Amino acid sequence: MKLYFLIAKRFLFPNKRFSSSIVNFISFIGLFIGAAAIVLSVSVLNGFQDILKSEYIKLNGQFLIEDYDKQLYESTKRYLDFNDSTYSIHNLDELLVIAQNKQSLIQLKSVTNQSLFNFYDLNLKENQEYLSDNEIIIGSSLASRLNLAIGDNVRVVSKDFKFNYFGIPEIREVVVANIFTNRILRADDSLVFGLLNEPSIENLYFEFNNSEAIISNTSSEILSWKDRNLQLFEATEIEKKITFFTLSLIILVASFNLCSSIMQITSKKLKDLAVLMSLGVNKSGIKIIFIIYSYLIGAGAILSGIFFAVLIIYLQNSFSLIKLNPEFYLVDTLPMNIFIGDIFLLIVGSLVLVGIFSLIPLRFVKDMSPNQIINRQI
Amino acid sequence: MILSVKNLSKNFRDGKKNLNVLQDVSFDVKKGEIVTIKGPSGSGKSTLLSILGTLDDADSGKIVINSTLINEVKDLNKLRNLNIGFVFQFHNLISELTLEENVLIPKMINKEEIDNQKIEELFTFFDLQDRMKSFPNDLSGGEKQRVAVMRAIINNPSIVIADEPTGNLDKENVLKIIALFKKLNINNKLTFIIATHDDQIFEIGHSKYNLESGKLIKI
Repeated sequence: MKLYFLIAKRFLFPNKRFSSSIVNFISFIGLFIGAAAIVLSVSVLNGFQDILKSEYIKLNGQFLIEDYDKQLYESTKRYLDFNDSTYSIHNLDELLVIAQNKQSLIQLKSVTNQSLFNFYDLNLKENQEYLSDNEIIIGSSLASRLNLAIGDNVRVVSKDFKFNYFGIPEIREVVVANIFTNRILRADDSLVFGLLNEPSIENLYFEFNNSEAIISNTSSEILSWKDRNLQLFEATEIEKKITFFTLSLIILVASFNLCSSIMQITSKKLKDLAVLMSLGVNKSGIKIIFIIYSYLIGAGAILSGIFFAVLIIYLQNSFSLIKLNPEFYLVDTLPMNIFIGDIFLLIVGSLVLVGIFSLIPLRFVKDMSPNQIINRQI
Repeated sequence: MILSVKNLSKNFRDGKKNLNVLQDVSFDVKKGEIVTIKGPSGSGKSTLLSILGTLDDADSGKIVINSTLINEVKDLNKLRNLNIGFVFQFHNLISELTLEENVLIPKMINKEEIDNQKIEELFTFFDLQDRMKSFPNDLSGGEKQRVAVMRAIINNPSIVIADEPTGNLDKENVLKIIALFKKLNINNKLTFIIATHDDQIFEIGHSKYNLESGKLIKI
């Protein structure tokens, strides 16, 4: 192996100088760009996926147990208490909000005061520790759309159009106690927090973050944040896979270049190969030399590309080099995050591709006759 | 006997014509012997040496090298690496490797430990001690051929097969190579089979043969 590595290295960098053929250089650059592009693109998609997750969890927790008929209330509460999990019990209702001749259909999430300020992370406009019965917290987009500010009064109408005994829909007047900001899934346009006084009503939901509670809870169906947003999550996953596949085509094209580079070097070095065979190197050894040769280019380029991309990710995460307009995006800086699994998949996939393309031009070795090659020149 | 050849035949097809390059060639070589073979161009000298060197197959006949019938050997590469050294008309050194690396190829194929002192002694013996780290392109033709000889003998082979070893050298270097072969034969008891056009090198043979029309005749 030492000999094969030595010869492959010298064929690539003749006479210990860093000079190699232009085809090798193009292959290197192609693989470098391909690997870097995949890592950077996937890291951006991961970054946005992480933002989606973290912003969603701020308003909804990681896991959810639905209790429609209150049968699971006691058992679920016991499980969550036992696992020392901070959790929230809430009720969801759809209401019409009317303010200053404008109206909007919203989802009212009724929670306890403790949950509101301990479990959720609402990014409130003003500090607050208590919400009274006739107060609500609305999102910034809704506030902007309905021209509402903290302290304004709004009227809410039940979507069920419950009528009072005068035949008029039941209307409650409440005060906007605070404004939260979280643009995930247009939450600050459609979600309103109110107070849940009596957890005896039906359609209760438990939201919690402690994953250990899942293991101990066997009787209730638990939905993770992924389950609750399956289509969105799958869409981002498919986007990631398509990006990965599309950018892999750069590596594929670069592998074609590598293939022609090996064809070039083998035809140039045919006499040397014949001499090596006359000295005792077998045909597999000849193949190994060129497999090492292609991996010196391929693995070198792919690892350099990955290193370059990881460096960019590090710099972006440390110094926020690429800014975003928070009006259009959820964040003001480009989020980037790469997982070791993505890098592993990229390395294995690329190296398999490089291996296959380096073997294609080596089929000639099977029929190689050192005798004919050496005697041809005499 | 270090080499025994019995009834070796080799034919080539040239269109519809059948060329009998070697016909019932038989001869024996003793250890420490120099065998020289001459014959006109195309007489089959290189073919004979290729077959003896296990680089080509004969159509019929038997070759025994160092008590091993090569027709029955599965790993000819290993047999070649350990028992046969080649010197070609052109030095055939690998230009990307240093002289030292070129010489060490047979040892590296066999994954042997390298004794640096012995390598230095070998380069001194060949009067190339200052050129170990040089590349082949920095050397004259005669020097390159001396390195090729070093590479051929590094594994202390049973036989050194030399095909026109002086064919590409000037008179002065021909004499140097002849002197070298004689010295290696006497000092190291190396066995040589040399195919040549050159009368000077032909004359160093203990056994001399003429190959003509596919037949090998002892002179």
